Amino acid sequence: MITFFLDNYLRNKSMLFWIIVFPSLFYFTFSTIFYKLGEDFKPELEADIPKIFFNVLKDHFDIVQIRDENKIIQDVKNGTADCGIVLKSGEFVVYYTSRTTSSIAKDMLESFFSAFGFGGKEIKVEIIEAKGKRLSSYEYYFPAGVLMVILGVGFFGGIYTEAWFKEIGLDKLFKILPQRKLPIDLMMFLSHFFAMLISLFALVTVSTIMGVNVNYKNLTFSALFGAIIFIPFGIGIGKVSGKHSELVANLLYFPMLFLSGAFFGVSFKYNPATTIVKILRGKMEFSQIALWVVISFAIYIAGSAWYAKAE
Amino acid sequence: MKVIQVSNLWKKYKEVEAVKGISFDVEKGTVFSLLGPNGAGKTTTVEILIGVRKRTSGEVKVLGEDPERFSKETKKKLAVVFQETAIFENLTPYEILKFFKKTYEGDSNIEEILKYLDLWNQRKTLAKHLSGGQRRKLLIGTILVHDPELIFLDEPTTSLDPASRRNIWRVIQDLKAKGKTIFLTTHYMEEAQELSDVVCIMNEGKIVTMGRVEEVIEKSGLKTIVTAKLNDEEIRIETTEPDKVTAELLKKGAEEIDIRKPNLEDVFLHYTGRKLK
Ligand SMILES: Nc1ncnc2c1ncn2[C@@H]1O[C@H](COP(=O)(O)OP(=O)(O)O)[C@@H](O)[C@H]1O
Ligand SMILES: [Mg+2]
Repeated sequence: MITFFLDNYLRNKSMLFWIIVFPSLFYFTFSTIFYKLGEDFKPELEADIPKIFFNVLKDHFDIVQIRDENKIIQDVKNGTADCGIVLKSGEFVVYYTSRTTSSIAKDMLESFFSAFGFGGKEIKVEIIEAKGKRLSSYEYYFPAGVLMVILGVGFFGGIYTEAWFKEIGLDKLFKILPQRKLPIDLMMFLSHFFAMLISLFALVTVSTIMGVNVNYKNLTFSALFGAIIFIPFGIGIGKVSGKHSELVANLLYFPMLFLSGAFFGVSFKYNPATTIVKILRGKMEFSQIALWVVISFAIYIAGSAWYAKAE
Repeated sequence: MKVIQVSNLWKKYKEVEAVKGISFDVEKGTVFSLLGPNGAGKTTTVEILIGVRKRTSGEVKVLGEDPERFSKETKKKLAVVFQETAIFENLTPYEILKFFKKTYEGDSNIEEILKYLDLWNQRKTLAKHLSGGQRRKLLIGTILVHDPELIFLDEPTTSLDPASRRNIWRVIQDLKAKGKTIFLTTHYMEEAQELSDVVCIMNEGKIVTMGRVEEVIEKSGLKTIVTAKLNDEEIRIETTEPDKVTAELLKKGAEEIDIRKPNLEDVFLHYTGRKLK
């Protein structure tokens, strides 16, 4: 039965574009444009730097303040800190090494400093030691690509297909079918899940060609939990959103994507997408995952109940 | 035996009262037509009877069960062709029929159905590329893959050309010959007249009149209809004295005078003061 759904879904050329070409293309382009950026890291801040900067930064980073400039440089060199910031004759100096996390941390701080315009001071960046391999942007953005697939195919696709079936009246047909083994929603889930796997396969192929060492364990977990979290979530919303499905999907999709921490170091705690990014980076937080699974199924059940009652 | 029993059925949407207390029964093996203009409440009635919509009040029994709580067994005895021609757009007629056959655990021969419906050449065409008529035929095909007892057809020929309409009529007549009970809705008077055992005329959520076609016409008290063209205007007169009316019309210089028996369209006009279409 599921094959009917999957066939119907995958024979749609525009759907194929969104499933296969778009994520890979976007991933490739994005990685090429932004060839370096950051993840969670630990900077050190010189004690002379005004308190307010420290307060702003500590909300986002695991930051410490230290008196001694030499100690900061030493910590950055031996990896205790990912980078250091010192106020030196009117300008900020950011120390970093070419270690992956260090260079990412530098980029992040740099962008923070420019974004907050700290007293109009210049930022000077000094590399203090060059060793080790730099993280390639393809590696860095791989989670972003995976997340796009999960959100795009699972979540967006879930909302859209569900709402579209309703719009053309196919949902009525489903209601009269004497169902056999699988309920329709489960078939919807499975067909989106398979589509997601196909999409991920395309993405992994592109990434592997670009030299990314894919961690299949993390990828498997994120695909699995991504499907379990986002597809019911999407279907639940699709049942309610009707004609406005595309708008609703976009309104939820982009903030979730961009506040996930996959593109920029900014990860929004209250975002299921952040959980997926963490899984991809090897940090399984089971309590978080469980929470989102529960929320997602609650949304699904609420959407279904609303739909059953609505006229 | 009564296959459908409806008593005092009401349906209120948020703003509209679509069905206002209708009652009727459908006997096994008959073709029952709900005839009425757009917005009469036909689709609403059908959707309540097949269990996809909740009723506001009233008693409904279909094959002995409340449609809101159909068992799987009862669902298998039903077949529906919806007014919206929604179907899996990216599957072929062959695949779609296979899907229905599997779902209903039918044992028919899909190839034969495709040939019977004259869809053999389109069997590998994606549904989205079918013409309106072919699409309807395919939807009709979905009810032939299993052996339903009760068939609902919601405006199965709307917006089809006369040839396709005849084709679908033929299928309906074949189903009737096999003893199936058919619940048909239409806004074509000829269709109801041609196919029905019992016709139920509906307008603005209420039943206007109901019975066998001849019965309905008889009950309306209409005797003869005279139509003519007078000063380039179509005129239509209900009368019991056609000769007198005709003579008068001739005197006035009317053209294309036609004297005929009343049909369902006339009955509708008689009760509601408006035309069917
Ligand atoms: N889902 C709905 N929500 C609100 N009003 C509806 C809905 N469906 C139908 N209606 C209204 O109910 C009335 C009857 O519609 P319908 O049953 O579709 O008539 P018919 O099938 O005879 O054309 C119409 O006025 C229509 O606008
Ligand atoms: Mg209708």
